[in-house]
Amino acid sequence: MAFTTSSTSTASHLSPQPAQPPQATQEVLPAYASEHPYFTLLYHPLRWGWLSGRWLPILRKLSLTPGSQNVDKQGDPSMAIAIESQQGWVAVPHTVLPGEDYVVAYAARGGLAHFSRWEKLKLLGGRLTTSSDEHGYADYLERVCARLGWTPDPDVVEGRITALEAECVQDEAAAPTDVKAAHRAKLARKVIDAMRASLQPVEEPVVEDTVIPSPRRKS
Amino acid sequence: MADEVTFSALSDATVAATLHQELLAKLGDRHSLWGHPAIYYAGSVNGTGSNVRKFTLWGADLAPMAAVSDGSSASNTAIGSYVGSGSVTVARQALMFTSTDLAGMTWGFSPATLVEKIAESMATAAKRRFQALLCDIVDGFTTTVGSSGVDFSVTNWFSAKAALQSASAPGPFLAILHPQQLNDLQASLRAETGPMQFVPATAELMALKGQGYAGMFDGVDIFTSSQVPTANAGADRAGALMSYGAVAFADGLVTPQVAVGGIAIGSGPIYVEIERDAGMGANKIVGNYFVGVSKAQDLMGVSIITDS
Repeated sequence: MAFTTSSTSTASHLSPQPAQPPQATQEVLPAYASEHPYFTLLYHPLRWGWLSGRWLPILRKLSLTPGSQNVDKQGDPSMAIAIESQQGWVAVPHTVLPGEDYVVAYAARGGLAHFSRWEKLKLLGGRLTTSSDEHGYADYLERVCARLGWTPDPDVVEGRITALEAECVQDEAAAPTDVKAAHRAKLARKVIDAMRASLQPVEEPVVEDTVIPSPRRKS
Repeated sequence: MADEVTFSALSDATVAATLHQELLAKLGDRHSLWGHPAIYYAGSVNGTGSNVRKFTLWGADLAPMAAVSDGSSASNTAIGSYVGSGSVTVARQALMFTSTDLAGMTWGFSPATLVEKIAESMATAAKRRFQALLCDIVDGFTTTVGSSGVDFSVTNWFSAKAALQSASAPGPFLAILHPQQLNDLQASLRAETGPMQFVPATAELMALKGQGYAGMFDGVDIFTSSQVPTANAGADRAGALMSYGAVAFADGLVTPQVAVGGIAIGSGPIYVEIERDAGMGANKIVGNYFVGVSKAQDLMGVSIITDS
């Protein structure tokens, strides 16, 4: 409980006590716990994208905040997940890969602040900065997909490529007068090529015909 | 020359610092779309027997007529696929400060007392909470545009708008973007040629639409919020472009219990009370807000997931 007081008093004892830092100096993240609630990730078969050079699902967060997206008053997400499942969403279990929960918590102002395991936090001059281990996240997603048997629907993939191609064509058209569009178009063209290449069937290794010895004639 | 009356010579007749009699607003994102007509109000849970508010999506008028040959009987149409529903679960959001008497009596800003000043802040706190609940939703539309790790561009903007138009989503549209996404959109727009123009917010428009109003582009009001969530493990931000009515909220009103003691300030959905704790020599200022926000119609919104 935080009080607004104009001064603090210290108790004096004659016998020495283990030193305790004052509460104000205890190190916590300079962020409010209520702004980083615990969450569950949701998967939808229509949401696939190109992450770190792979087709992977674009998951969304379901914040387990009472009042948010039908999470109940005690923070129970059962009804929220049931409602979302009617729309095709599937909750990704926190223990889908044992020992690798995708949420981590840090001590922050007012409790625990929750982040994705692949969000890297750094304090620079008292300011909190975050970066992302995108490849680590993509590796994790790949293993989750393998475990749960999720693969992108070919039509969804084709739709994403077509959409990106349409944007790329627009950027290419604008390229002569827009350096940024030209840059985007160049990158997009590379990504489209990689996306298309990923759809090529993997060629089976060539197995040389082996001569099957004809059965011996019985004499 | 000696023994001049300098400032340091005054010594005990001076103080280290004095407080300027004005409270300067600390930098922060105070914006909220609370009360914006784009957010559908699903009603109050008061007296309903449930904290879940359900609303009906009626589409019987969308059932198509079909040709029937002369003299034949028309077949019945199942209405089920033309009627749907959504729901909003209302829960309590609260904030409390405890202000001691000593803090109160030494408070040096008039005319408001410390307790009054803290009580005033509850309205903003509730509206920011509403904004947080709203932003929880914007990453959750099934339709997405943008590429992970790639800046938001005007091309993505038109893809999002095209997706809404393809779904017959009615205008007007509204965009909620992370400030970084707005920066990227503006950077992309700088190089655009032709009649497209971003109309930045003016002081008058911000007074009308709030701090987060960034401007208008392509006939769409754009709002920014630092509470727009991250996506793809923090690599991206997930804002949204949506129709009016894509998101719904419901609330509940506290019935004042004057006989219990304490002072209730104001009325309406944000209920602020001051509770006296004589034993502690302190006043507790408590704000309660009962609200819930959820998606109303998925196809009325597009999540914009781009580099953060």
